[in-house]
Amino acid sequence: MSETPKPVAELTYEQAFNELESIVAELESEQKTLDETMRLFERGQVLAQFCGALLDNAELKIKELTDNRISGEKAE
Amino acid sequence: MKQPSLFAPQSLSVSDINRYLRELMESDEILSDLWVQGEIATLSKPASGHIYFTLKDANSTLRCVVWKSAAMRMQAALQSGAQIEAHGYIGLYEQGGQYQLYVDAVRLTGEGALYQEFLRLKAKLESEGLFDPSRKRPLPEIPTSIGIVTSSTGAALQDILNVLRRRFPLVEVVLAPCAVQGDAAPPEIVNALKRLNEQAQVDLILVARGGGSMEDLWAFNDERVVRAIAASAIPVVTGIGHEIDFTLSDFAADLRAPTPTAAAELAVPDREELKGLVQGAVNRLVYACQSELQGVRTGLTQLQHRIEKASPAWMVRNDRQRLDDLSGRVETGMGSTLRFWHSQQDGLTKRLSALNPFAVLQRGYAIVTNADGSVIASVNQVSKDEMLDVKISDGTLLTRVLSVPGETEGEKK
Repeated sequence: MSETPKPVAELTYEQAFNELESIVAELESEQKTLDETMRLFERGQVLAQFCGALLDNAELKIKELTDNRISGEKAE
Repeated sequence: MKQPSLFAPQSLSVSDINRYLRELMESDEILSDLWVQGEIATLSKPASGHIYFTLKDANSTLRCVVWKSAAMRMQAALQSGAQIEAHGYIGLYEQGGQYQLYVDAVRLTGEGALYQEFLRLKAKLESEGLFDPSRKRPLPEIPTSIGIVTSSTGAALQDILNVLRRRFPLVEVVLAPCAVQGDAAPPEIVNALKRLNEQAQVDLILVARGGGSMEDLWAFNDERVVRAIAASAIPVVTGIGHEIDFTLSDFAADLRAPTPTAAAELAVPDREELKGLVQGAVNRLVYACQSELQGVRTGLTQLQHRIEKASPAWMVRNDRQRLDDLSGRVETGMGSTLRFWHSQQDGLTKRLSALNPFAVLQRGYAIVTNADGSVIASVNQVSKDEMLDVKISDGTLLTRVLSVPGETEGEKK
């Protein structure tokens, strides 16, 4: 956890949720410095909000494979 | 043409020849186990429970019998005018001199050939290990992208998209449209699977088609399609037809869903459940941080106490307190000491006054002293004519000794 974490917006839902899970597990299993605890807490909160927003606001994206390539977004 | 010896001089009875023919027919390998295809005509179902009908095609007819025991199982298929295939053996009805088909099974025309092909191909692919449970791969728990192999105009696609929108719209759909019925379908399905494998970054492929007859679904029993599904590097979920329909594609897939809708439901998690998981993680996060902070706070309070004890201010306060404490003790001690001495003094005073030699003077005693002030307690201390002070209660008398017992006149001591 020492390296700079990726900006949350660049994560997929699964990546964000997995990181949230590992942060929780880390906080639950180890004694941390206050600084580290606060940093993990803030990161966890951001990840949770991000996950919730993704679940609430996502719109299904549909692409179509035409003969040789994938077309752009297909209007629904 | 030579005359056969059989018809030489001696003639046979009708019964003889019919029995002979019956035995001949029943010993024939082909006639004892065969399928015959035709249209049902002159169907008769008498009270006996046996069924009699004729099968006909454009040119000929064949008499058929279904015994009561077998008839129970095939009532539905036996309709006048139906195109069927009947299974059984050819035998001779000796009394009527007519051969007929003794039927033990019937099926609608077409179905049988397809089913045979289905079983043959299933056995073949099974023996190659294509359907082995060990080949089944787990599906991604949370797919990012899903490929869909189905008709772009079918209801199956809409069913799938509706489920995905409702349950997990985070997923990206890559549609690989193809025919799902007819001769064009197998190569198109194979191509769609191939393109999804090669060109699209999908985690999972759904192969779907809405319900239909066995022929409608037949493309999914095509060997090329089944092999393409088995060969897919990406896990495949099939949702073909209805609950009751099983295709070879279903056996080759990593997971078979009973319908397209069910396939979509199996492919993605439900977002309401995921929200619950996120909330659970948040609760644990908050709790873990709270207990972490509680620990820090307790440590802090303890440190605060230790710092205070080490500080000069606390030491001064502490010394001050000790001083107060000591003063108090001194005061208390002094008080009791003083009280002790007071009481001692009172006692002494009383005893002193009791011992006051002058007190006895009140009672008539006297103290005699000589000129030196020495108290005279014995006659040996005085001589004749010596001046003595006689102290009585209210004054001192100056006296002269007139005589001393035991002393001769004029003799000095």
